[in-house]
Amino acid sequence: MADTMDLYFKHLNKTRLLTAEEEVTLSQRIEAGDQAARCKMIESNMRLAVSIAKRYAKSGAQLEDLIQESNVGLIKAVDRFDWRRGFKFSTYASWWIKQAVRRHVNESASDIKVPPHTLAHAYRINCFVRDYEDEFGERPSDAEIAAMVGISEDSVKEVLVSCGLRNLTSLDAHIGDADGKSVSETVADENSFNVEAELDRVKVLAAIKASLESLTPREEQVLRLRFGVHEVDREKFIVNNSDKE
Amino acid sequence: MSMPKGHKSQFGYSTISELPGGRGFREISEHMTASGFKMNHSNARNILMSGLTKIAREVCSVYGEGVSEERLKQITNDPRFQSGVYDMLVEKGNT
Repeated sequence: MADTMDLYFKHLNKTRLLTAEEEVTLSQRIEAGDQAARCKMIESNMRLAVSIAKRYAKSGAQLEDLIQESNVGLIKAVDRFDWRRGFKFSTYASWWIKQAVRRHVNESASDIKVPPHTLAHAYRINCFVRDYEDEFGERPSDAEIAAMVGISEDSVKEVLVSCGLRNLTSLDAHIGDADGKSVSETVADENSFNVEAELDRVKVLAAIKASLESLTPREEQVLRLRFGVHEVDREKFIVNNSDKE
Repeated sequence: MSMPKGHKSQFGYSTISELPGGRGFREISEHMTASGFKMNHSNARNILMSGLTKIAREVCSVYGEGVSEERLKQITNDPRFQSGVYDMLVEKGNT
């Protein structure tokens, strides 16, 4: 995969950046339905897509996937670019590219999909909570958050629950590389039967029982009296004592 | 004999305050004397410690621990050990 990426980057380095005039000319041709111009516009701006994708490389998503998504955003920008507004294409395209990459990062961050608008609310809530805690030293109430963000209290609760669920980890997820152990293999089963501990326990119990049997009736009676446990039958005890004496 | 000056028990002391029906050494000696085995409170304590030492020695042998008499004394005085013996006596009494 690394070789393929190297080839891809080498190919990108060979493409020349467009001037503002060339962008306008190509956009006019694209409007007229020229597919070659569209391809030229896309290929000439792929370096921009890669540079934006690389900024999200630490998000946990694969760089190849990020580049793929940013290219999708780039294509969308090429199709929607309006050269009459007078802006550079890169200014317009970077928004579409970022939007595509962010959406991919959000979707791949967790197995549980959370709608983008909920994530936007979560972002605003987190910012507000952080500022509030810095200023007042305590967490704001849900009512305060709702008033600040402009959504209902119930929605605040739902947003927080939804975003909390995104941090769940699948028990089948691998730790480290794909050949590593799964999470489920590292979680201790508290109800499992520990053979070694049970053998130890049985062994000790047997030893203690044997030692209890080795006590003289007098010792056992004193122990029982001391601990207040089921006293030995008095007649039996006296008989045993008389036997000993 | 009083405890050595500055002595501090690591795990506390064994008492009968938390044992329902547990008896002090004077009560034990009175009960045993009435049962036909004359003894005073000091004898009662010595007999108790003797019994506990037997159990402790057996348990230590299971774990393969080389035990000195000093170590055995520490174990028998340990309230955690005595609590374990109490559980065993309860279990034995129920079977």
